[in-house]
Amino acid sequence: MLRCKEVVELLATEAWRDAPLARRLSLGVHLMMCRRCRAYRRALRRLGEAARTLYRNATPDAGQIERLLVAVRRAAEQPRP
Amino acid sequence: MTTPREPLQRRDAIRGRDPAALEAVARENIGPLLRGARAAGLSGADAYDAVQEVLLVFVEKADRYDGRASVRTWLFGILFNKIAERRRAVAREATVDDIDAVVDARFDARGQWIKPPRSPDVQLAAGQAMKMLEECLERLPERRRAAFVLREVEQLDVDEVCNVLEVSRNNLRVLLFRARNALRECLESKGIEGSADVAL
Repeated sequence: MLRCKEVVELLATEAWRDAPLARRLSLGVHLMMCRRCRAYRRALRRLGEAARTLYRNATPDAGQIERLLVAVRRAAEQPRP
Repeated sequence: MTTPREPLQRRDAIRGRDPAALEAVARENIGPLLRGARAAGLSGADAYDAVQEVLLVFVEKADRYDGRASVRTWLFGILFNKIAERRRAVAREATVDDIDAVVDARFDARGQWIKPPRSPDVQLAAGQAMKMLEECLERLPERRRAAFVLREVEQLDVDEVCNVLEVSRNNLRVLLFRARNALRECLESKGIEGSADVAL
């Protein structure tokens, strides 16, 4: 039986992705039975969602994009030795 | 899991410094790069400058692009090196905190929760919660913040993040473990229990 602390490690490091099947299964069983670890997993998920929302809204304005593209074009046209 | 590669045709166009190909790469990546720079903690103007530098380095070195990693991974690599340089220049080295000890203290000797994550009981206005998350990210040491942002905001593959930050998989795990737990603890200390109500 996995301990809660190991569950936290597997989740926060994402080590579960490469874990052997048996370990992933016992992770699944543990999560099914442990409300506290489920709350932890939910908190991590929502943390990611919140961070995405926070920065996804920060879309650059069209003027910025255009100015950067002009700089790229100019640099690309520079003759190379 | 392998890092996505660029199609050969496109790789060759980039290497040949084909202006249309270079511009297309820039156009696709300006948004993600600006967002990444902002998320890594740069102000709007600094983020813009950093992205401009990244794109100029990209054009300059395009002929040396080997196509082993995707262009995006390469661009993010340049960006995060620039950000690290900037940070060193400002000599704002991260204070050593001990998130590992904080996490340890939540468990007993048998690895069971003593202090479980609290379940949400306060509904905070989304704007306020976002502000708090921003403050918590601000307090994160740079490498941890970069790992978290690349993985969660940019949603790069684990291998891509390793490439960008030039760390091993094991190092990345440690960075992610510390970043996520530090953020969760920080939000909980600000009253957002389990960070659960943020942005929902």
